[in-house]
Amino acid sequence: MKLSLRVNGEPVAVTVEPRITLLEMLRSACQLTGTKDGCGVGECGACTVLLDDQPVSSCLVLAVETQGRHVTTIESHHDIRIERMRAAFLESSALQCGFCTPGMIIAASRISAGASAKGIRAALAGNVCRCTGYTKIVQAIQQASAGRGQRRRND
Amino acid sequence: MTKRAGRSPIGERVTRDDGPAKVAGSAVYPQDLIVPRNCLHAATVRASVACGRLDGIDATRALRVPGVRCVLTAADVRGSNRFGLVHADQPVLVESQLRGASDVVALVVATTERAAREGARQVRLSVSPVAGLFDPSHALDPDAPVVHASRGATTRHPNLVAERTVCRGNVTRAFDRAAVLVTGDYETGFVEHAFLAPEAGFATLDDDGRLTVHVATQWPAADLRQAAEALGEPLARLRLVQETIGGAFGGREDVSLQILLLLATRETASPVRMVWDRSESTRGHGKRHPFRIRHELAADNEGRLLAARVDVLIDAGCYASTSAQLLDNALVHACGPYNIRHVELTGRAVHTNNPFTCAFRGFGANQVAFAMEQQMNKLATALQIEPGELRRRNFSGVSSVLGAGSTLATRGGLPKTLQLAQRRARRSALPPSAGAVCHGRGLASAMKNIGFGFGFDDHATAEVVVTRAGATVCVGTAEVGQGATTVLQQIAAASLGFPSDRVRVEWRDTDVSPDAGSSSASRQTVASGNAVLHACERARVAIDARGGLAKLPSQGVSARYTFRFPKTHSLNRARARHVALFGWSTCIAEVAVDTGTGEVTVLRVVNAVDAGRVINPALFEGQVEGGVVMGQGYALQEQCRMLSGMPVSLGFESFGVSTAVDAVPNIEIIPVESRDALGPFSARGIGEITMIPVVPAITAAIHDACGIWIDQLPASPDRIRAALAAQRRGGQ
Repeated sequence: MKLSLRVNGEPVAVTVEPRITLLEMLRSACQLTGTKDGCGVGECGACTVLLDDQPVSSCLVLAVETQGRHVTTIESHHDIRIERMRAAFLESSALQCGFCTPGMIIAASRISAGASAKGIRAALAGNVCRCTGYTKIVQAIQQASAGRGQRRRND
Repeated sequence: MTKRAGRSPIGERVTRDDGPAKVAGSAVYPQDLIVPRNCLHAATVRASVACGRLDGIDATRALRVPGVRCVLTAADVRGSNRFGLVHADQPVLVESQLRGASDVVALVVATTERAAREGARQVRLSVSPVAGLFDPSHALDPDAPVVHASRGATTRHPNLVAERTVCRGNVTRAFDRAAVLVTGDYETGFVEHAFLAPEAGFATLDDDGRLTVHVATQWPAADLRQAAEALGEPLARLRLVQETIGGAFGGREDVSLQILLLLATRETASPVRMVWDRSESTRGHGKRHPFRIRHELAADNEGRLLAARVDVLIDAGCYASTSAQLLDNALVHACGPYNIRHVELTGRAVHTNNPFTCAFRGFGANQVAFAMEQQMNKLATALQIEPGELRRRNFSGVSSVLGAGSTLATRGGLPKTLQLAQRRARRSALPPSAGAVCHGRGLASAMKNIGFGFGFDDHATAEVVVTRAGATVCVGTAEVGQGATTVLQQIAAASLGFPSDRVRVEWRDTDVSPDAGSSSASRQTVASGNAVLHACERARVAIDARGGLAKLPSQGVSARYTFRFPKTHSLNRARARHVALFGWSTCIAEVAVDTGTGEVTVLRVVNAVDAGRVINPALFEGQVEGGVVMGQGYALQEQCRMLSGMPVSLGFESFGVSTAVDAVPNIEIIPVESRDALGPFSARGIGEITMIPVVPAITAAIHDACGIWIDQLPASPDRIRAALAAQRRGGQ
């Protein structure tokens, strides 16, 4: 099937089999491997992308459902909220192995700015991190929403 | 280089060297490798049962699937067809006996991933059922099914992986004069590592005829050693390149798909890729060891520990892996960080047809620490001594020995961890219990070996090249997410007087970076850290001899150093240094128990960890926070359920992995620093000690809240409800 959609702001035309997921399309046809495949059944959230600005598990969306729509992945450099979250994760050391990080940053970028710590945690319920214990992730999101996303000096 | 530029980076929150790529999504994990057009794809064929006799493999239909190139079986492996970290007892491809969930029978190689998977589905296996052994308590029965027939020659029963007895003093006499004797039976289950990135990899046949495998592993040199033997290849023909590692926690110390990839590439002379999905990952690697522990602990009226008798039964599952070593480690930790004169420690690790069990953050220390600290808390209750005070009275001094007879080089800041954790916890009061919800607070102290110990020649090598512009450190340290390469960067920068960002750590390629051993046993800060520090110090001497950095030739100077842990001894040897070094911590947990539903909520955890010296506070905190939440999961909900040897928990939710909603929101970290001669800048690894005391602190808090002792993990709502019901009936 031929599909046309926008990925990270750019128009994309791809030919896909009807059965493949958005995750598979991004990782193979588009070669955007920043979106991770952690479970394939919507449990871990490592594959979270924005579909028309809403976070979704891309392993649960068929590629054909994205016809005419806009997909945003971790590779996006046009989204200020993602940029800010990226800087905050780095500064807060909110990552370790980093495999959940792309999905986590995408999900975090759409949490409303005034959310409480509890609200942030609820919004991240679909994104598993096995390394960090979530504390620094919550702090990074709070910091980004407070508008303090600048990087700390290295040394 | 007499003049050092700027402030030392030791103790600074230096940004992770891999951080920018990880937040940009450009870090390459094995599943992300963009493979060449001619790349083939492999898929495994596994039996539907854990245990049986393989009578035949019919690949006819598989070979008819368009795109399938070949179906590889045991005959194609050519070498020993066996691998294993200590004993090579796992077949690469099964010849006849199916022993457990991780067994692979055949490998289908095809032009596309889908064709490989379809081919694998079309391979017909003839399997005769064989009675399986799934209960470790029956493993040594005379008529128990035998998991490895060949093992009988070396042990008293073929299902016995290892057996160990340690006796000191006279336990029976000490029990007779004790004021109080506490006896408990403890049980823990299988737990899944649940690292986020399932196994994947890619292998190539290079122009020079060598085979290269790109994977994520904790111990590259051990992978290659096992691959060479299994495949009948000279070690020099094999090379391993580490891609970014998506978590490990011990679960990547054993070989998973490395040898299969090398085999497929050798047999097809083509690049081959393989990716496991989550359920195959769950079948394909080991699990945390289930323990059954009988623990008897005696004390006098003042709470001074007199004697302990501990017996542990460990389910090693279908292959030995490192279970014999884990048994020894469990016995060293079985009496905690206390001074006990009279001990009888016995343990057995036995085979079953359950999944093989392997390293997992704590390496056998967690299970016995749960039992020992629960015993200490029961003792404190019986004697009405405050739990912290009971520990203070019994902490091992530097000159004394631990229960198993292990001598200590230092007890570090253990008493200080207790003091500071208690002081912090007391700053705020527990919320009052209301209605069915009861609140409680619990305490536990713990220790953890750093480095393998027990006589293992434990070493790491680093090589540094220093130019006027900066330094490149080559050291094969697996960066599993813990931040090892950043710590090594800081150590090198501190030694050479460079800012951290002028030091690059090369760790990925076995052709470039020398062997640093395994990223396990909390050992890399000390092992690789010392190797890097001393290599840099040698380079500094060379630079000074040339008249300083400015006068270096363009290629710079290089230096190399191999660090070896001090010699350690087998547990057979009484009163000896069994382990080179220990780490210490004390944890206090506060919980709310809903006595109606049995649900436990962890409200707050205070964790005081002796790090020797904190090299990077952000990374240190990350290890503590991650360890606390993993400990919380182990205490309350994590369990990988088995049915006839097959994992039936196959995803994050059924593993019980904590989400951001479950995870304790309030973790207070107290870094304790203590001088230590062994570590670089006194630093010690802390990856495991952060988790170990969390479990018994939580179960103690449950007791404090509602008066029940939960002696089986996890302390799930059904177990809590059952214990509360028994308490109401007067049973507890």
